[in-house]
Amino acid sequence: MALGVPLAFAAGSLAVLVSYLKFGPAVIALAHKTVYGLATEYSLLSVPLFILMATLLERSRLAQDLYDALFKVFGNLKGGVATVTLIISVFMAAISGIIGGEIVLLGLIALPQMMRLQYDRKLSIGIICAGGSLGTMVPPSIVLIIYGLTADVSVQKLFLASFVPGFALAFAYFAYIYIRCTLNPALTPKAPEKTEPFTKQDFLRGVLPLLVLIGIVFGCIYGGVTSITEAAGIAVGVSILIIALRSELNITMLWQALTRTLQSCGIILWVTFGAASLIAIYNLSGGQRFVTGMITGLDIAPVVTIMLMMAIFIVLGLFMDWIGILLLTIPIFVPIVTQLGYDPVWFGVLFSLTMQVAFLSPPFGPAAFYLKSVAPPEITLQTIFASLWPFMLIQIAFLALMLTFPSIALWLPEILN
Amino acid sequence: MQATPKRVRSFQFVVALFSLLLLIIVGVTFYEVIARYIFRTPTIWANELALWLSAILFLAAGLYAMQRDQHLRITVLYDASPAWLQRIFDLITLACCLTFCLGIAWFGAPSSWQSLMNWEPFGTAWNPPIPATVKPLIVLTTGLMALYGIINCVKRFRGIPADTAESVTEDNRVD
Amino acid sequence: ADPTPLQFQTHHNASSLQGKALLRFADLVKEYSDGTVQIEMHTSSSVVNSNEAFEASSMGIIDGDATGAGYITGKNPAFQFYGDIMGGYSTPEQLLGWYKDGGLDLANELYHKFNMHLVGVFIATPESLSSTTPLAGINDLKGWKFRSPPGMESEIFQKLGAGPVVMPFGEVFTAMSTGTVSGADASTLAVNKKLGLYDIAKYATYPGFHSMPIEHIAINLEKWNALNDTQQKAMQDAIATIAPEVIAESNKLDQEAAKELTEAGVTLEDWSNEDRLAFRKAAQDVWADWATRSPEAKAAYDAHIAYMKKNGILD
Ligand code: NA
Ligand code: NA
Repeated sequence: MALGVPLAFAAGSLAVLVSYLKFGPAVIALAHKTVYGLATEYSLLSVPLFILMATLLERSRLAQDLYDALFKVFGNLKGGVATVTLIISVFMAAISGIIGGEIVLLGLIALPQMMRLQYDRKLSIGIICAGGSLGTMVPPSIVLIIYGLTADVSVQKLFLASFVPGFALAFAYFAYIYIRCTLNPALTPKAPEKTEPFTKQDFLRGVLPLLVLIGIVFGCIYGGVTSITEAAGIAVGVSILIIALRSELNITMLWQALTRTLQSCGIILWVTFGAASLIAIYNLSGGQRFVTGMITGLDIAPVVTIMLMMAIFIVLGLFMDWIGILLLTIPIFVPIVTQLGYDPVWFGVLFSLTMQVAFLSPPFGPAAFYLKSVAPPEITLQTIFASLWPFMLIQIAFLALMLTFPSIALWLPEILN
Repeated sequence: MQATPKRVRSFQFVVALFSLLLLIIVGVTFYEVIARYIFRTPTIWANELALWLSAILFLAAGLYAMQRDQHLRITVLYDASPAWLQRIFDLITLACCLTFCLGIAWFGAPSSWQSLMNWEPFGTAWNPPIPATVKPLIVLTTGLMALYGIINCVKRFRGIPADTAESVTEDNRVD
Repeated sequence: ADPTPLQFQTHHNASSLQGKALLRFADLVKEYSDGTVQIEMHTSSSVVNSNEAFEASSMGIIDGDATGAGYITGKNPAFQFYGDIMGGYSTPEQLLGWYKDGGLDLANELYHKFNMHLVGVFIATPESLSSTTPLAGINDLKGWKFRSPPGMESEIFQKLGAGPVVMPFGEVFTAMSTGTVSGADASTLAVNKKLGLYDIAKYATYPGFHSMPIEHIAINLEKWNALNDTQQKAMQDAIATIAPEVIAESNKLDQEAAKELTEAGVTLEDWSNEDRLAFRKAAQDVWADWATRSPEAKAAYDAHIAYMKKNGILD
């Protein structure tokens, strides 16, 4: 992979080779089946739609206006706009259940702005990837929905349980940024000599349109009006409307946004197709059996087993995407977890937390890939991955906290029942 | 960009036209939500049409990224290598690309052909011929992706940089 | 001789009722065949998409498919009659009886056309509808908006004045709590309870009547023909062993769930016999319509109707 072979082809060709060598030529067709299965996966459709919404908004000066407006309010604080980016990412996490669209949106809107305002590049990248990944930790979350369906656990309870940890994790990022920026003021530019006052015009042009957009998406999903995918479609329509109202809409811009989306979407989805082909053949080869044998063969304390499972999630997370890990391990792990006397809802929150690490960890770090697909070319994957480790340390520390105090996750569902 | 043959560029434009499907998907979504809430008559076709179009979009997207040689790579070693070694890596890339793409195209072809001949429907309420169309399209797309894998490899051997100039300038995001 | 390895796939997960039964089926086949057939049962659709497991087996990517014929109605509408005869039977035993009474052979005329052999089927208890509004009888279906799987089910409910909405299952929870839909069709009472549907929906039809999916165990025809008589019998016997176990276990789980749900204030709606029959009559019209869609569908429809009349399920 380090040779510069596109990941989609590295994973995909390995899948084809293993199919042939282990099972024979008939099984090579499995890759075709995998691509077909994913291409007809309805929930994946929200990815290009959220990307399109983001690229459209980026081509408008709306994002610039928003950042300018917020900079007037927060610019004189230490790490002000970084904090604002994080606030926005938490907001979006509460709108979206997938990380792809969210990181892409932040990558398109927040990254160029932070670079323009001369924020430390690594800190900016870290905020976007870690903040953007919160989308699957803060409900609604597709990770938790599929976990619930796979593990036979109430999705509603999972949502309630992950609510507090999700926001607490966001708060931990806030604290980290505040401390870093206080210790090292060079990470963020000085506030301008005189910050212009925040005007009604700033609000109308910079803040209101996005609030409307967020309100509509929020209403569509939490109001139970539409599915996430439909909400994404509506968000695109509303974005086009907003841009037209700002008299910025033209054919060239629309065409550029569309083709840009086509490219990003091709990059993201075909990595997924390649990895999924590899996972399929790994599963067919009995990868599941191997993991079960390994875990049940150990004679250790229950909490150590749980920690071992977390370690497996994190190690698998280096190479695989969450859905592969989930499908591979959860049906095997959850019965063991229940047998040991632990709550599978709590385990689900732990799982989604380890997936936060997995989104960031190289070599297969989807958050980094999503950001790379929309970042300027001088930001390489290596730069992105090098920016992420402090956030991964925070996530792992937070994971340790959750392991020690299960009630962080469980008090909300218990109170409400 | 001048070095890219004109015929290839115009085919890239044709593939790019598939991005217009996104606008149709948005339109269909609006229609469905309006039909559901204002006219109280949800359609049976909107979600399935969106799914069908999105499958076609995903395939075109992969081909488009391939035409522009933009598929996701980790280039630590590649960038640090001398030109002759990079050419060897290019050949390995080509081998991987052909293995994956032609593996899908060749071994997926028989069942795709059957789906096409039987005009196999999706088995849902509206019942669009999704298997009948998408399965053969996967074969076609991966076949073309293999072809572009060869084109990209030849370009690198001839020292023509990847077709990325547009993506750098179009966004104008570093001001 | 070396044992014959067979790769099977199910969409069920390893900890579900059906998933456990299928894993036990794999163990039993090994035992009954004296270790000469070793089935690897891949759970949770970990190899191919659920919709594709059947075709993947017929192509030889995997060897066997343990999902259900409901996934492949696009290949031939007749598969609907081998996947779920919506509203048709009241108990799994009745339906298993149909397979014994010539149904299995009829099914295999269809399965063989797809290079597949149906070894046997097993069936859990009828599913329960979940609702946020009372659902005491057939009249309550008028204007009842609910999340429905696509296909025959939505056609039947539409006939009865209900408004089936096809949406991804993940959306059901918010949709129900905000009143976008009033209910959902997911699974049996016990499974629905585990999914958390009754945290929101306070009404459930129980015992169920509208849907009873058939779990099939089908194998690539060439792989089947390559097995000797003892091995084939081992697979048939293994299904014969798990089928009644699944019914008993599913009943037990439903009864436990019913008790707990009643205590938690959920209303269990037990439809009257007249209402159940009225539902079956409405369903029958839709079956008849499906029967026109292919010759194989017609054959399956006729066989079901004949059996139902013979056994007093329909009059
Ligand atoms: Na979220
Ligand atoms: Na990772």
